[in-house]
Order: sequence, then structure tokens, then C-alpha cells
Amino acid sequence: MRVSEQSLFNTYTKYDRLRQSDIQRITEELSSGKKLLKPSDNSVDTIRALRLQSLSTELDGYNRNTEMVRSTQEVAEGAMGAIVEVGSETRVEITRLLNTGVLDYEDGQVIKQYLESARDFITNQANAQVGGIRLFGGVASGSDPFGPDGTYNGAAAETTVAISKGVELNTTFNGSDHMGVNINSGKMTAVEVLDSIIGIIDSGDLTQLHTATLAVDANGTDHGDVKLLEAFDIGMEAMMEHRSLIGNQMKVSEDIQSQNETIAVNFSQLQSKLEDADYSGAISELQKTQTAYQALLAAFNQNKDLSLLNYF
Amino acid sequence: MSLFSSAIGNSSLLTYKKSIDITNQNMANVFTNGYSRKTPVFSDLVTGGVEISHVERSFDQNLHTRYISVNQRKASDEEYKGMLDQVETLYNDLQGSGLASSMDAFFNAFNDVAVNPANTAARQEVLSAAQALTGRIRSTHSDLEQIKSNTVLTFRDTVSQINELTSKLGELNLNIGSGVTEATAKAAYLDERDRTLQSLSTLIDTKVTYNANGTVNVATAKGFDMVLQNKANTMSFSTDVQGDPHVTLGNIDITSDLQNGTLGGQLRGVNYLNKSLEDLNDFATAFSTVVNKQHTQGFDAAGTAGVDFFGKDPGSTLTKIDASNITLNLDDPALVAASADSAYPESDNSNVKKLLELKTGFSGVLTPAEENALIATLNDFDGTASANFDYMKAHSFNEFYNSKIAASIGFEVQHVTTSLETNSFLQESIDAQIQAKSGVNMDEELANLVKLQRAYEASARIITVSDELLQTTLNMIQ
Repeated sequence: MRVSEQSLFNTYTKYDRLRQSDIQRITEELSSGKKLLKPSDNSVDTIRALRLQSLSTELDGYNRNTEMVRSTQEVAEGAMGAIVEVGSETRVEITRLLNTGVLDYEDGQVIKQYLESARDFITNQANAQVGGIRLFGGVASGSDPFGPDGTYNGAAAETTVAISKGVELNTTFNGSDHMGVNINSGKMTAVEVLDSIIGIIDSGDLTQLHTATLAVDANGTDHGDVKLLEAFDIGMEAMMEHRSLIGNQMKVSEDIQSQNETIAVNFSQLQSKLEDADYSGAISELQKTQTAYQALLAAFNQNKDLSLLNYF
Repeated sequence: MSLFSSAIGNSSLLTYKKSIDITNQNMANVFTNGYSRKTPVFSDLVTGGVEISHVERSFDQNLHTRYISVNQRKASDEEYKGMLDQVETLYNDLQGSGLASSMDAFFNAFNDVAVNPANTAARQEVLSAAQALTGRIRSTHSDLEQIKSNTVLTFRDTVSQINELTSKLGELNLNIGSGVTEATAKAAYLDERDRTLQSLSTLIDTKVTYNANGTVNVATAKGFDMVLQNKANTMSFSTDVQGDPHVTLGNIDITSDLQNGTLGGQLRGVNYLNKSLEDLNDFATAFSTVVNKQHTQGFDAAGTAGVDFFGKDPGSTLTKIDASNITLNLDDPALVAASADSAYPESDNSNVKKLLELKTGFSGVLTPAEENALIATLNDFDGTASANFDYMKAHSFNEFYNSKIAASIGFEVQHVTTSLETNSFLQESIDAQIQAKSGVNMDEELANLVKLQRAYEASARIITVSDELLQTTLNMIQ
């Protein structure tokens, strides 16, 4: 085969272009830390990386929601815990009162004040809020859901947010259920009982404490007419049940958050595997390409002077 | 006898001088593209002595025809890839362009409103993310339009170049066919003819017919004459209402016949851009219609029924929202219709959760009648259905963008790159064969030069010896 002078240069320029292009590509990979620099580098991996990116963003959103839900749940659970604690102490006082046949005026006033403060504390806790959102007002979270007498003004509908696909947890709660509202009166049963006892103390006839009854329909059951202490217990029972439900939700949110974080790490690793440069591979490839380029330069340098012209 | 020898020496001297001249020409054109080396072929004269019977031009017509064919395909791929590279930059989400991250940010912004619908900052974030998304959609559309308009302008310039080359071929045909008889001059014209054919093949796919007298006739791939003997037909450029380029040759629109060459590559580019623009417009139209529908199902912070989330630019003359005119229709965060209950506009988050769900699908958002009305406005509507809409509904807006827009350009670039590599390899291989046949090798030419020098010296010696013999004879007479 004849070899023209032009062929020598064509061959050199062709491979020079290829080697420089290879070196530029590897340098770009090493500098950016990415092996996928444009969709055409690997379209399938590009789509996979985009999908993973989208899922990671979604998980970020879920994790932020979980944080918000957890803080809401902690406040709600704390408020209900305080109510249950105060309720327990108040029940002791009520029991003591029931066992007391006669009460002088001053003692009556002391107990009355205690019961009033317990009632106010319970209604205040039932109106607990986070950043202006009343937690036990359901969807009507813009204003206090409970009046001073325990009347529920909130909504039955609750607001929830997703913390994972198909899992939604509350950011507000139905105060009627959670605070043991008596459907018959529309008031918190415990508060209604306390108000009744205060009324009896005011009347001075403590015997009514043993005879007075309250028609209670709370916590999903119509209990009919029950005595005050039993009514108080029904109200407290409803609150304790729903407090444990919030506890369960907290457990769910912890589990889901842990799962979300694990998945997010996996996604991040997968995304990195698809997108990020393999440094050791790239450096080795760069050295190979550099060697080939040096060989090309050396070969050209040796061959370019081979000519009969040198002997003229 | 000696006078006769002197005449032989004289003719040989002239013959070798001419041959040395041809060798010099070869050496001078060692790096001239398209130059075919020439070799003088000697023959002896009946009366003695030597002459150049003809000058052989080292040229393989078969290789040249194959080169032109491959060159057309390579030029088309090169041009098409250049245009696709520009489009790919617009959808390079991994490097920060494209719509994927903006879409994720848009949907994600609804999350914070869902957590606290009364939070004005969260509502403002929704508007900011929506504005960023509409901005990206419109700038991508505008860039695609700009690439198309530049491609069309280049197309027009290419048509002018083709007309210049066909006109030049006509003139070359005139000279080759009738005028030039001198061997080296004719060879130079033939070299120029072949260079011109190569340049023409870079621009448009052609069929070349070689005539016995060295002239060529050139026609388009479908047989419309571009150059017939010394007559060149002029191509005309025009654009249609969509701004797409058209070429006519003798009042016949040959646009659809153009597949290869730079012109074919530009046409492939314009077709791809049209498809890209259609897909982007369909995406923007469907996306805005669905989001608007869901948004109007809700109530804003004041408890008023939600208004359209997206609108169209007041300056647009179109009757629908698409990627060219999409704007954010809300200017007040309070207008985000997060609630599905007008009684609790600042605390209910039911509608914003439905807006968030649009990220994964929108089945059931539009009524069948609304879907049909939307489909009828889409660009890929074929009278009964729209593949784009079906895909978006079956998957999601994000998946449509990922698979049908971003991945589509990646696959197309991969496909063209492979084709270009194949055609480049073929072209280089044929070019190497042409070089082996027609290229100049300096050592070979120097060896020839030495050989011719020696022959020249010998011829000169014949004259000297003849002269001495004659002188000796003349001296004897004295």
C-alpha cells in the first residue's frame, strides 16, 4: 500500500484529536466528580438518577412533615398528659369530698377554688396551640376550641399530612373525641362534672354529690345517667385512651422517619453510583490515555523527519 | 548520423524537462486537498527518441463515488448532532438546566402549606417555586425557538452555497468538455471538479453521473437535475407559516426528498425541534389545565373559591396556555387555594394535599368532557387521541418530562453519535484508500526526480557527444 505524505499527517491529527478529546473528557469527570455530564452519556442512568432525585426530594418533604407532626404530637401528648395528671389529682379531691359529710364555708371555698383552677387548667391545656394552630380544634384550628365551661367549638374533621406514601398523621385533632366531650351537653365531661360539683358546693347541700347524675354520651358510648364521679371517670378515660392513640402515632412517625432516612441514604448512594465519577477508574483511564498520547507524539516526532530530502 | 542523434537528444531533453515539471507539480501539491498525483507515461518515437504519450491522473472513480455517498451521510449526522447538542444543554438536569428540579421544588412547596395552611411564608414559597417553574418552561421554549430560527437561517445560507457550487460545476463542465486539451491543465480541472463535487456532497445528497468527456451531471437523490452539462439549476429557499424551511428546484418542492448532507441534517434538526416544541407545549398545556382545575376546586385564605393558578401572558395571541405564554396567575400568597372547605380557609389543607398528589398522577381530576377538550388542544392530537396526554395520565408529569423529553434527547444524541462515528470511520477509511491511490509520496517523487534528472543528463550527453563527433568530422575536412 502506498503511503502518501498527507496520510501521515491525517493519521496523526485524527488520533491527536481522539486522545485530546479523551483526556478532556476524563479531566472533566475528575474535576466535576461526575461521570454523567449530559443525558446522552447514558440516557437510562440519567432517567434513573432523575427519578431518584425526585424521590429524594419527596422523602425530604416527608421528613420535614414528620418533624412537624412529631412536634405537634409531643405538644398534644404533653397537654393531654398534664390534663390526665391534674385530673387524677382532682379525682382524689373529689373522692375526699364525697367522703366528707359536712363542709364549713371556708373549706368549701378552698375546694371550690381548687376545682375551679383544675377546670381552668384543663380547658387551657385543651386549647394548646403550636404556632397559632389549636391542636384540639380539628380543622377549626384558628380559634380556641374549648370555652371556659368546656363547650367544644372546634370541628370534627382533623387535618393530616403525609409522612410517607399512604401514611398520614394528624397535625390537629378532633377535640370532641380526644377531650371526652359529652355529646348530650357539648362540653368536656370532666369539666362539666367539675362545674356541677362547684355548683353543689355553692348550694351548700353536699348530699347532692352522692345523688346528682349526669347524662353522659362520650367516647362513643351512651352511658345514660351516671353519678358525677363515674361521669368524671368516663371523661378521663376518654382522654387517656386518646392520649395513648397519640403515643401510637408518635411511634408510627418515629418508625416511618427512621425508614425514610434509611431509604434516603440508599437513594443517595444509588444516585451517587449512577452520577458520580469512579475516581480510581478515571485516574487509571487518564494514565492509559496519557501514555497513548505520549506514544502518538513520540511516533510522530520520530517519523516526521524520515524523508529522502535529508539525503539531498 | 550525428545530426539525427542530436535531434533525439533534443526531444528527450524536452520530454524529461516536462516530466520533471510534472514531478515538481506533484511535490508542490503534496498537501493540497483533492490533488491527484500525475505520472507521465513515456513512449518511444518511431524515429527514435522519447515522448510523453499521456499524463496519467491517479484517480479511482469508484472510490470517489463511495466517498461522496458516505460524506453526505456524515455531513448530515454532523449537522444534526450539532443542533441536538444545543438542545441537550437545555435539558441537562444533572448540570442544573432542565425542568426536573423546578418541578420537584414546585410540588414540594405545597408540603409546607399542607403542614400549616395559615403560614404565609409557606404560601409565598409556593408562588416562588411556581414562578421559577414557569420561568424555566418559557426560557426553554424561547431557547428552542431560537435554535430553530438559527437553524433556518443557516439552512438559507446553505442553499446559497449549493447554488454557488452548482454554478461553478456548470462552468467546469464547460471547460472540461470543450476547451482544455493540454493534459496537465485538464487534470487540474478534473481535480477541481472532484473537489467541488465533494464540497457539494457535504451540503446535499446528490447523484453524480460521469460523462465520457470528463464532465458530470448532478441530480438530487430523487433525480431532479441540479447540473446538466454546463447548465446549473438554481435552488430557491422559502419558509412556511410555521417558519419551517423549504427548497424548490424548478418550481418543485424537493424539501421532503432531502435526507443527507448538511441540508438534510438541518431539516432533521428542524423536525426534531418541532417535535420538542410540541412536547414541551403539550406538557405546559396539560400541566396548567390540571393544576388550574384542582386549584379552582379549593378556597383561598379568605374563603373565596380558588382562581386559575396559571394563566397566559397578556401579550400572547394564542387561545390556550402553552410553553410560550405560561405565567403565574396569582400575585398574592393568600390566593393559594389550600382549603377544600370555605369555612376553614386557613386551617383545612385538603385541597393543597390534592395539589401535591398531582406530582404522582392526575387521574380523576378532569371530567371525561374536560379531558376530551384538553386533548383536542394538544399538538400531537391525531383526531381521536393524544399520545402525550395518555402518557402523562398513565404515569405523571414528572415521568413524562423524564422519559419523553429529557431522555428522548439523550437517546437521539446517542443514536446520532453512533451513526456519526460509523460514517466518520467509513469516510476516513475511504479517504485513506483515495490517499493511497492519489496522494503524493515525497520519497517516491524524489526518486522519480533523480531518475528523470539522470535521463535528462543522459539526453544532454547525447547532444554533447553528437556535437563533439560533428566537430571532429568538421576538423577532418579542414
